[in-house]
Formats: sequence, C-alpha cells, structure tokens
Amino acid sequence: MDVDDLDTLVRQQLPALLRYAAALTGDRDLAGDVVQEVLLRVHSRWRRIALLERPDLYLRRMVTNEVTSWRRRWHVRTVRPASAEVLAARADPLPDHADRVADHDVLSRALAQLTARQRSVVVLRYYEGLDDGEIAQVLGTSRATVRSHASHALAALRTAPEVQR
Amino acid sequence: MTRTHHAAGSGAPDGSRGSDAQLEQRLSAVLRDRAALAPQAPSVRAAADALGALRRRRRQRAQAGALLGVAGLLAVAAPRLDDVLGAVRPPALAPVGPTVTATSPVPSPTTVTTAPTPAPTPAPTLPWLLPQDATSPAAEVTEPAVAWNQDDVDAFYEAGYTYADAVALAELWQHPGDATYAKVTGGADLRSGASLPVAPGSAPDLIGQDLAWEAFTSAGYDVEDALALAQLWQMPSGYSAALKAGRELTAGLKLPEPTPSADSSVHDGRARQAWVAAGYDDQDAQDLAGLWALGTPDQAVLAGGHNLQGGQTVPIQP
Repeated sequence: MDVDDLDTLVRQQLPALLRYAAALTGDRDLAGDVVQEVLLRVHSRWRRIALLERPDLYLRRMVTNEVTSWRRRWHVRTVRPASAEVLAARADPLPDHADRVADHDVLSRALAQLTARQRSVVVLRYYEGLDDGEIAQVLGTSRATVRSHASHALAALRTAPEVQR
Repeated sequence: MTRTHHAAGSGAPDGSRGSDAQLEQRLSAVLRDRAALAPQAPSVRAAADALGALRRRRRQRAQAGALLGVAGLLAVAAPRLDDVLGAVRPPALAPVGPTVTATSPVPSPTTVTTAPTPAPTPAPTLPWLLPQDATSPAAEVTEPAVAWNQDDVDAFYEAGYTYADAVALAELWQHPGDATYAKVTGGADLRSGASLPVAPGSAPDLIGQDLAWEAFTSAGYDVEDALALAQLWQMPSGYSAALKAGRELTAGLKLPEPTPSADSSVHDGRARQAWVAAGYDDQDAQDLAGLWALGTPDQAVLAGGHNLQGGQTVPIQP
C-alpha cells in the first residue's frame, strides 16, 4: 500500500477514532490529543499496519494504548469536576434534563473506577458494538479474557453505590 | 455505526437480567454522549500534520547538532518557548471573535504572482482547544482540494516554510483555510524547481492572535509555568494548559500555585521532549527498557531523554 491508501484509511477512520477516544476518555481535549498522537505513529508504522487484515481494529488498539499511556503519565489528578450532587444542589429544578445529566455523571464516574482494560472492553462492546473476537484483537488478548473483563466490569458497575437507583 | 448489545456476564442470575439490560442501555447512552464530545476530524488532522512537521524539524536539528557538537547541544537543551509548548500545539490558531481578522500574506518582492489577494478569511480552527462559543465550523476546511502527498509536504517544510506560510499561500491561491492544498501544491512546485510567492517563514505565526494565548503570556507566565500547570491539571501538553490558563485569567480567575513536585515534572518533560525530538518512539522505549533492564518503557524514555539532553547517546537508533 502507498501513501494514498494511508490517506484513505485515515480519512475513513478518523471521525470514528475520535468518537471512540472521546467515549473512552470522556474528555474532548484528551481525545483530540490522543488521536493526534496516534496519527503520527500510524504514519511512521504504516508499512507494518498496511499488512494487517483489519487495520481499523489496530487503530483502535493504538488509541486504547495511548489513552492508557496518558493516564499513566498524568496519574495525579488534582482538579476534579464538581459532582452531580453539588451541581444539582445549585441548579434550577429541571427534572428530566437533570436526571439525564446526573445519570451521565454517575456512570462516567463509575466507568472511571474500572481498570483500563475493563473500561476499554465496555466501550468497545457497548459503543463500538464489537464482538468478543474483535475486542480480543483490539486488546491483544483472548476471547475468554474479554468475557472475564466484561463480566467483572458489569459486576463492578452494578454494585457501585452511585449507579444503583 | 453498528451497535450490538451483548448479554451481560454469563454468571448473572436470572433475576438480574432485567437490570443488566437497563444498565447496558444506560451505558450505551452515556457512551454516545461522551462520543459526541469528539473534536472535528479536519482540525485534528491539521494539528497532527503540523506536529509531524515540527518533530521532523526537531529531529533534523538534533541530527545537525550531533554533527556540530556544542552548537547542536545548545539547540536541544535550550529550545524556543513555542517549540517546547508546541508538544501538542497547533501550528496556528484562527482569530477568535469578529473583531480579529486573519493575517494576509506578504508576497516576497523577488517573486511575482498574478493571483488576486482574496478577502481575509479565518484560518482552520482547532475547536477542541478553543472556548466552545468561539468555535466557527464555517471556518474549517472539511476536505483538502488535493490528495495528500508526503514527499511534497516534506519538500515544503524542508525548504523552511511553516504552517502559517501554508495558510498564507492557501489564501493567495484562493483555497482559503486549505493548508494541505498549499503544502502539497507548494511542495510539488519546489520539487520541480519553481519558487513560491511567499518567502519561507515570512507569514506571522498566527498563534499570537489567540486571545487566551495572549492573556497567558502577557500575564508574565512562561514555558515552565505552562508545563507545571499541565501537570497540575492533568492536561496532555503545556500549550493546552496555557490556553486554559489564559481563558481563566481572562475570566478574572486566579491560577493555582504550582506544586513543589512540578519542578521535577518539568525536567522529566524536557527529557521526554529530547527523546521525541531525537526521533525515538514507544517501540524504541521498550527495546531500551529491555536493554537497560528498566522496569517500564517510561523509565527508559526518561533515562534515555536525560542522556540525550546531556549530549550523550543511547545504545539504540531511532
């Protein structure tokens, strides 16, 4: 494959990669930076990537690894967003919208408590709609491990106090 | 996008299947909301393109420095402010708000162009770095007018042109906002021996027009402050942190004091920059970690980066 193929792949995959990164991180800035970094690596590794049967899955692996790398690098978070309860206490009463925002907030916080692998499995399964075999390819692991991560993730989410309502 | 809802863990008791399905639906909804945060693809691509060019220039500078000894060492050890902050920095930001206009290119006096100068048009924006209300989708180029050609783009940057030059050229050539068009077309012209109607480096860096950036630098903050804030706010680059800080300063907020540990983070950041500037990547870090029996590739990046900063070498090639 030549550069034109790389260009085509990036053009086709970039919007979906950005959405995946945003779903995984919940952070617009981080999603942009992560995918930007991945694009640079794709360029330098294109000859290897071009030989793959499913380069789209490999790109998601690169995004997943990059997100993990960012989290490892910047592991000390000193600024936290206000919780849904704090915001709700200050907000005007708008029940429907408030419920949606609150649900988003509690689930996002519960997702943040999962391990990186569990969170990746959840996003790949419930946002990307990949099956266990495809998720295993993205994460470089086995189907059984994917199922185990998914099971533990759902169990953790089910029992998270803030998720139960 | 096809979304398939899978059954929850096989070990779930029957009584929990209903709640599992509900949880999966809630998860899908939240993840869709999060995905909607995604920045615009053309902007990310433009920023990646510019960052790639910056890294190539750094690599070339580092390689030249290795040949020139002390001069090269100084270049790596004392990078320019905008180079350091530009680790994930876009090359140029569009004017924000209606009162700021884009910079018009100044054609080189040694060249002649017959193309009329169009009305000033906003350059491509990087909306995920700008305040939401300042984003103007109309200013973005959704599709370059030409196919990407890496050789042409390399020729463009290697001739000393900058992203701001590309924006200026794009305007001159009546493809406003399409920096890719200018880089590819200009690079092809240069490779064929033709000159361009804009001198290398002649277009002002549009970064100075970003109001947040102005607010940050005019308040007296510098690169180390930006890197310390990036660490404090868990942001991926000094530039992103500088913009956030600039917006907070503009809003009348006070910036937090850097933590005592920030200094070491700044040094680590410089080591990482030296590593990247020399052209090394994650695979190299893994190789070096194995070679030096270090625990993680990140430790190899820091160790290797410190060596490179000190003018020493590492035992693998990028």
